[in-house]
Amino acid sequence: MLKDITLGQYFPGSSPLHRLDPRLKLVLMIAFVVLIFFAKTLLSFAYLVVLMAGLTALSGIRVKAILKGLKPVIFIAVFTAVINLFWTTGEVPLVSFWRINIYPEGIWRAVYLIIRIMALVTGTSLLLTYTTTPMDMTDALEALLSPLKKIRVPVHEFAMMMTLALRFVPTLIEETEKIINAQKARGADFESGNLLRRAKALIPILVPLFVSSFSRASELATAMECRCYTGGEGRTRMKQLRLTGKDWVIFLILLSLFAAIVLINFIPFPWGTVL
Amino acid sequence: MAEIRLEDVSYLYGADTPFATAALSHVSLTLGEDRTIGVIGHTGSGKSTLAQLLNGILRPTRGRVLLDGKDIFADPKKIGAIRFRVGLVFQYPEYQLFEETARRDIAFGPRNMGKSDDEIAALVEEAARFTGLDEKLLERSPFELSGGQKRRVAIAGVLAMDPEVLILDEPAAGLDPAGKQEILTRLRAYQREKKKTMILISHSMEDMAVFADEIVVMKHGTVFCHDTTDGVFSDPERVREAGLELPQITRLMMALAAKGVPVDTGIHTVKAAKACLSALLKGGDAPC
Repeated sequence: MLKDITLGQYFPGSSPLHRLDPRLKLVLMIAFVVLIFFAKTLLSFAYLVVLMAGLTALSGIRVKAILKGLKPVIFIAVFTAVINLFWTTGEVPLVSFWRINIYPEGIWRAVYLIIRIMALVTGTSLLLTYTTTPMDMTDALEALLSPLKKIRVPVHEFAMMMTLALRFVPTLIEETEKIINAQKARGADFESGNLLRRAKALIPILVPLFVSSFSRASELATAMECRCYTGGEGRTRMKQLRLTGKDWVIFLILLSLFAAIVLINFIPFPWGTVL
Repeated sequence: MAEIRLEDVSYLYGADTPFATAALSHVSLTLGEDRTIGVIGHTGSGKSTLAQLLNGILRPTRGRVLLDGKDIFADPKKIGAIRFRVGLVFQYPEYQLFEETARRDIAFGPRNMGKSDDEIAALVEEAARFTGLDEKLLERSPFELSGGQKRRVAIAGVLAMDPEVLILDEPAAGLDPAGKQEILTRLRAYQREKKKTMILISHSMEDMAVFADEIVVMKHGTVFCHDTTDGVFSDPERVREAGLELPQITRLMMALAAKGVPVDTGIHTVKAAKACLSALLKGGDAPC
């Protein structure tokens, strides 16, 4: 059951999206997240859907895998859509019964919300998590945040912490599963009883997990010190991030494609505009 | 006191996904009562999967696991009761310790069984005796103990449930030779005294040769052979075919036999070898 967690899952590949410099990908992702909220008309939302399809094709990742990644947000998307459907008011109600009025604006808003949430998840995963290794991601983050070093923010240390945390996610999942099984074999019951009982039942899992995490952390620290790790100062990299002309070309193309969302809003369209 | 039977059991990891891999395929086995059965095989041969199938931590993809003739998953809600009857000690079990004192940790299993305080005290006492933990150790925090002591506390935690069948997955892994010898000797004594069914999982032929009555050799998720310990070692070719190493003492006996010394090449314990060789040295020339 715990194995289903696909936090930061990376799909290996060699598509243009995979090869794009991670720093630029991070910038693109931020731009994308902002620009998504500029979409206002039916045309721009339709464009958003096309854009997602295009990005998927570009990444070479199977559509099935991407749909699977969307599963966890379906509930949130549908929930917010339904709320919007009932609570948006407009001029002329489309359906009206008892005290509930459904306006066309509500329907549009609900549909747009679903598209927006889905696009948000697909876009960010395609641009970053699915096509970038965790290592590249933290390197990019470190590089982008490095100006903060001037005001004494320990950027390297933060990035290293993130790298380590990501590295140990699968290890911890495996360990948790092992401990759960071992306690089950001693008759631990995690599924019955009231809330308090269930919370108490977690102690036999949490204590060993904490103990082993702490001892693992101290072993790791020792191992790092043995290899003369002293933090970010004077540290060189085996893999240097280097921007090429090709990176810039892809970056600019994608950025202008994203920016087009704003421009498309200005194309007049008879219906479906929500302010 | 109890017999476990597997009927055509298969287990797939990641069933229903394109990555399904068979850990066990079509395994039929009868693990009889009142004996120590060694399960041996290479990494990835399905030993640990087998162990977890026997007490219902894993559910067979196909086939049935029978405890005294009854399917353990006949009523999936009562699988907890099966886990008390079939005790399973995982690999490196010391990672499961969590209580404030060793005594309370050992009592975790019996407490989950709903035993009374007096019964629990008696069960903990007995488990501590079999694993060689003294009074003083029981009052200490399990995290202060040495590696070997932690291991014994963890094993005692399962023994304290007084299971009919005891399964141990590599109980001696990572211990020094003396600690390894001690724990296996103690477990063997426990099995004999209480007339339990004990299933020892290991990849060490040396240990199996000394401590097991029967040996099940696993290979690529199937049962390669199941025979008495003597039977297994009487056929060195078969052992090699399974990709396993014969015990050193057996190899020594075979080397001696090759030089023309009339010894039994099926010998697999140092004790038997010693008896055989001293008989030879005393002038007896009959092969032992």
